Amino acid sequence: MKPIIECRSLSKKYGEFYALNNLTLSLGRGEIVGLLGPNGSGKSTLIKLVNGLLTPTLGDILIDGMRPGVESKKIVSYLPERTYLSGHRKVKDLIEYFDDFYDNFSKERAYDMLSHLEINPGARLKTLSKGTCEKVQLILVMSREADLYILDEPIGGVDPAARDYILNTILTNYNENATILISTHLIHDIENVLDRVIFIRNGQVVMNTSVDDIRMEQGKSVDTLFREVFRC
Amino acid sequence: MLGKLIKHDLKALYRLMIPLHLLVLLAGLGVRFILNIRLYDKIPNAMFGLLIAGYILIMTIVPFVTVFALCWRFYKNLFTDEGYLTLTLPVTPNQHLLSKLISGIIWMLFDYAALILCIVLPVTIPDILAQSDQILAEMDEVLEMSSVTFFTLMFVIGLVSCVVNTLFYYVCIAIGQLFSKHRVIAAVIMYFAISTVLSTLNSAALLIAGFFPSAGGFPFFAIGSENLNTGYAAAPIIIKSCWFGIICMVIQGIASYAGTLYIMKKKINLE
Repeated sequence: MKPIIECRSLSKKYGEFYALNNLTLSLGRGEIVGLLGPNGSGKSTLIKLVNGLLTPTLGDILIDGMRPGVESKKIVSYLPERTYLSGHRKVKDLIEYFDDFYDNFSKERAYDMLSHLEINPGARLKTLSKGTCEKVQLILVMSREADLYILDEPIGGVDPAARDYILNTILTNYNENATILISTHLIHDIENVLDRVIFIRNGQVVMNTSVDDIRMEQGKSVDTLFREVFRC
Repeated sequence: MLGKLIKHDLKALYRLMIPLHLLVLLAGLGVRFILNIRLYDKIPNAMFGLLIAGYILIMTIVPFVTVFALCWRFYKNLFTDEGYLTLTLPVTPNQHLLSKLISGIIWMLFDYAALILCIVLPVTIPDILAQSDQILAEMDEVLEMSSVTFFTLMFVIGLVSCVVNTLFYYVCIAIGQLFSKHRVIAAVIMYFAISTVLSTLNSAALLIAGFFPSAGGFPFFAIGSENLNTGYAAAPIIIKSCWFGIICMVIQGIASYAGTLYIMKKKINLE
């Protein structure tokens, strides 16, 4: 089976600055992967490249063997760090929007999660709190039957209680063959759900290892190892 | 997918466009009513002047609001945070651009139709219609062509400019996105800068092609030789310069489309 993400000598340059520098990476299926690194390490650039929001300067990036494009976008469900939902729209309008464009979107699952979180589908987004908007966004993303979920800071803007619900939502709403790539600074909160971590610094992968190996071989938590590797 | 994109693009603006253009129609109907019952004889001149000024103001402002709304939708939907959703939909950049173009043209035509109605409604009252033959005859004489030909030409130019102007706004916004900061201001500056260059080029092309009179008359092919000695002839100049203008606009439209598409395919960089 083809890797879900494959980067071959991938570089992205902004002016004279390399956000990604000759990065090579291969990600398999059925894992929850933490993409971790300090600010400016290249995480967002990599995520944007996977989603076709940037074009590489050099090298190749393949999603399930395809260059980012219409076919890859059908199988990637992406939660950006930013709120991308327009305030004047109603939650149910967004569900219709996702249903219109994604064949693998399940309206039933979305309405089910909304009702569980007591979010009114008739509410306009501008009337909801920032945290609730983020939950709506996550519900939309996790209501797709995707092969790859990319979640950029999925728990950054919500309270600790909601974090548990969100992580639980992530864990219970993906199939075993799907891969979830989570980028976050809140390592401690998510490390229990991670199968693998990728540490990235200065646009290059410095570590790509399973969480079990970190715990068994190094006897450390991911959070502790991160602090050691990226000590300022 | 294109149909779905167009549906959502139209949906995004109907709440502004429908009331806005109803206002235009109401203004046209209002002026028609005032002229029809000769209300201007019964109310103070100042008040009549204010009503007409309001009518003109609405006709002037509404097209600006329409254009602004289209530009804002294009910018916001593709190049701000919303772009993280829009640009990750399983559609091609070409479909995105086509959708924005077609929905933009639909709203521009809607605007165009409302403005024509706003003008036609007051001038089709019985008092004016009674004089229409004389008015049209005078227009034919001044234009040196049938007013039907003239209005058809204006209509065609209007349609072509709907498409070309929409594309031009889009390419300026897209070029603005190439800047790392102040992208809206950059887009506005681009609009004025490119407009100035294009208008200079256009004037130069018109001059070279001989559409402007000079001391020696029209040097090239702009008018028939029979007119060189008999004096100024407006009709051939108008018709030929209109066609020339349409060709220039089509070239500009194609270049704008290609430029926008290139930026959307290769140079997107959301903040």
